[in-house]
Amino acid sequence: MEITYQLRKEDLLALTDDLTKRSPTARRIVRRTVATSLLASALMCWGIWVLTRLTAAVLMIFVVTTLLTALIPFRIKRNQRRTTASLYGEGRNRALFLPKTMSIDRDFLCWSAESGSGNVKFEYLERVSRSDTYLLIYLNVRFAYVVPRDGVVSGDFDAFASEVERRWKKAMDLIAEPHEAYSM
Amino acid sequence: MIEQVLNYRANSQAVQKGRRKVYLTLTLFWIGTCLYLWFATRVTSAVIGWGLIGVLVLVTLRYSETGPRKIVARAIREGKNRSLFEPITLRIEPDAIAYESASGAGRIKWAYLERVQRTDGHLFLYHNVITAWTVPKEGVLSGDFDAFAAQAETHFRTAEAERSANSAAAQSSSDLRLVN
Repeated sequence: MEITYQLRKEDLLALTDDLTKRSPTARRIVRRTVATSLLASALMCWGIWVLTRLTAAVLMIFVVTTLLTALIPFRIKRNQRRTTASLYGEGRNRALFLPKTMSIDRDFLCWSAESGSGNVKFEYLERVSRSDTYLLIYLNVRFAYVVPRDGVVSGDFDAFASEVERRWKKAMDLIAEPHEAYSM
Repeated sequence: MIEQVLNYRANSQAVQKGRRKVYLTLTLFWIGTCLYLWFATRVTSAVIGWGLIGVLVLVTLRYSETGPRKIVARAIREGKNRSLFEPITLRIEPDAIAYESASGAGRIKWAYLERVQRTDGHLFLYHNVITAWTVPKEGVLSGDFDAFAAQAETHFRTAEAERSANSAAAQSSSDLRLVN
């Protein structure tokens, strides 16, 4: 079973979004930024109130700063997407945007392109994540093969994604319970 | 891996621009709040105090080396990264660099590498602007790090020169066709 696809720059943002959504570290950074901003605005308002006793003005400032703080997660996400897009724009990335063929060969996920070829055992994959539009095959916590549904040149996206998921889960089960799996 | 992330971040204009934007936003926020405090209260000491806190925050953010390192380390620890920490053998071939480890094998042509960068302790072979093979000098199990790095740099430069020459030749031949 194989699939041939070609990436566009915007497809790489899918990986950034998935990392931001799933990573506890990324979520913690957002939570910490929001909490720090709220605390700073509360402190500032308290300071102003102690100095001025202008309750209405202080309340208004607090409401405005709280609203601005609520927008922080969206701004962080937008900035990350922008930075990623600019980052990929900086390089030539010759190998990244070439048509790439991925295939499944027994225990291996194989890839080949004009730039080279390679394979990786399913048991060494970090994670397989699938959405309606993308298949993300994580080699480690940061890097993944991004297979965009819209970028498929030949092959069946759904069949390939299902097979990759199935083989990866099977490999993970083998690692988790080797004795049971071998005795089957 | 931490070194590689810090390396591409240090080399990236986009990342630097993003950081500058954060400093600028924070600076403007603090200047704005200081001005407001001054006009609302006329208490100089409060304004100076608030301003000093702002300067402290900005300086800490600007010169904190441990912050980004900690974040990257924490992010890496989130996964099992089974393929990442296996011994890997890199082999230089005339047209490509080949890799082999327990997790798999493959090769990438020199002409398609993004860049090869060497620091005192590491060699980075970038596949694209973000991902790279990281060869730590202290993590070498067999082979000569310096000789390998020098050869890798030479092969990469040769491939780059060949590629430039080919595109120049292609350009001139298309120019000739246009003249004809």
